Amino acid sequence: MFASSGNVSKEEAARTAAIAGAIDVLVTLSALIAAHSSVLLADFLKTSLEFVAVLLSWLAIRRIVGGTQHQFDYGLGKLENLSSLFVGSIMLLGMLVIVINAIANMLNPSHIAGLGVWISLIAQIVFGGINSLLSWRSFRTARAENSPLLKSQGQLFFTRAFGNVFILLALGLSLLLSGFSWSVYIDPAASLVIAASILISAIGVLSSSFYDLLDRTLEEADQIVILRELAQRFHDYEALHGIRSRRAGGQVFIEVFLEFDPDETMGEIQMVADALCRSIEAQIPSSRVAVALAKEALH
Amino acid sequence: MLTVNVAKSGEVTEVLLTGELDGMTSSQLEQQLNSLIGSGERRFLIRFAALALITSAGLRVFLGFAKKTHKLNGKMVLCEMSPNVRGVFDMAGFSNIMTISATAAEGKALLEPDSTPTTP
Repeated sequence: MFASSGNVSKEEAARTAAIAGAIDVLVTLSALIAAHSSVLLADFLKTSLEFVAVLLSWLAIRRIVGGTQHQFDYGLGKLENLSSLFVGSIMLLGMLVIVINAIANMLNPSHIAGLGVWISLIAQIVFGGINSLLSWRSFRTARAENSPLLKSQGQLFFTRAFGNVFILLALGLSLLLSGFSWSVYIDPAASLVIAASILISAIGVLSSSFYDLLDRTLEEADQIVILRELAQRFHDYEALHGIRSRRAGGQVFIEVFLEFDPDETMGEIQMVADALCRSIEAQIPSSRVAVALAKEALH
Repeated sequence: MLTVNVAKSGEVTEVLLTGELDGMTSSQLEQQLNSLIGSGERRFLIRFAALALITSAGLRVFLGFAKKTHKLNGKMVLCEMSPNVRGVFDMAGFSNIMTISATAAEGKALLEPDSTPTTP
């Protein structure tokens, strides 16, 4: 078995993100060392935590790709969901660190200074552009493959791009308005706004992954789709013995237990089953439908 | 919670549903309907007047039951649906395969032995 092209593209996207994250960490660290700024400290912590999250996602995807080569052949969706849960937890942790740091600097305010501020200004412009691009790519791939992992990455990069813009504004305004005594509060205040955006993203990632991990049932709208298809084919089967459905990661698995007329050939039954499966799969994204012959039909 | 009251009126078995028909209560209704079929009943008037809610799990019961009555040359008429419940049946396409009447009297008339078959 070979790795699917979808998984390979996921791995490439995650690897690119991990490399970009590592460079971002190095730049923010150098800016932090060369400057006295509370926002830069928060930026470094946030970037480091995000890098760990991206690295973890990349490792998870590497394992998934390896799985199709007989090393990890079960629960791919689960692994993605677990990674997303961890990413969400890391984001929450980063948010807490920024909030605590901002409060501490509001209690003991000081003006920003040092070469690191200028390094950071340039870095925010460059990484703001890179993060925006990575966010767009992740969301596009996540939509195509219905991957919660790439969706969480897209949200992560969007949050980072948002953070870049805010830090750029915070540093710029702090420098421009340094003549005013209240300007010392710009940095920590901007950090709190970034923390709020991280919290919103983290809640989204955690709730989506958590429900998928619990194998939540199908939404009513999807259940109605299945019933509508069965109603449309009311005369094509003898009896309905049950419908089972569950989610596993981004996939939806549906089994329909039908009884057919014993006089029908397997070819005729197969045609009905195939048409039903195709129709449901076309209406429910990422679904796999199977028609099972109910016990009575086998007699 | 769902309460199922069964009453016999001539050859027609009236089933009055009260409460909510969802994933928690659908198996209760399914068992009772199967029991009625098992005891030889063939003409059913299902009354929805006191049914506040129906979900896909409830719809599934009626799809399966419609198949059973059809197989046994029986008849099933659904009646007294609220606009909301009727909307759910329409959305699922059940209105095309099941006979739905506005009132219980109309439903009974459709279940008379000389009336046209109501279940497809």
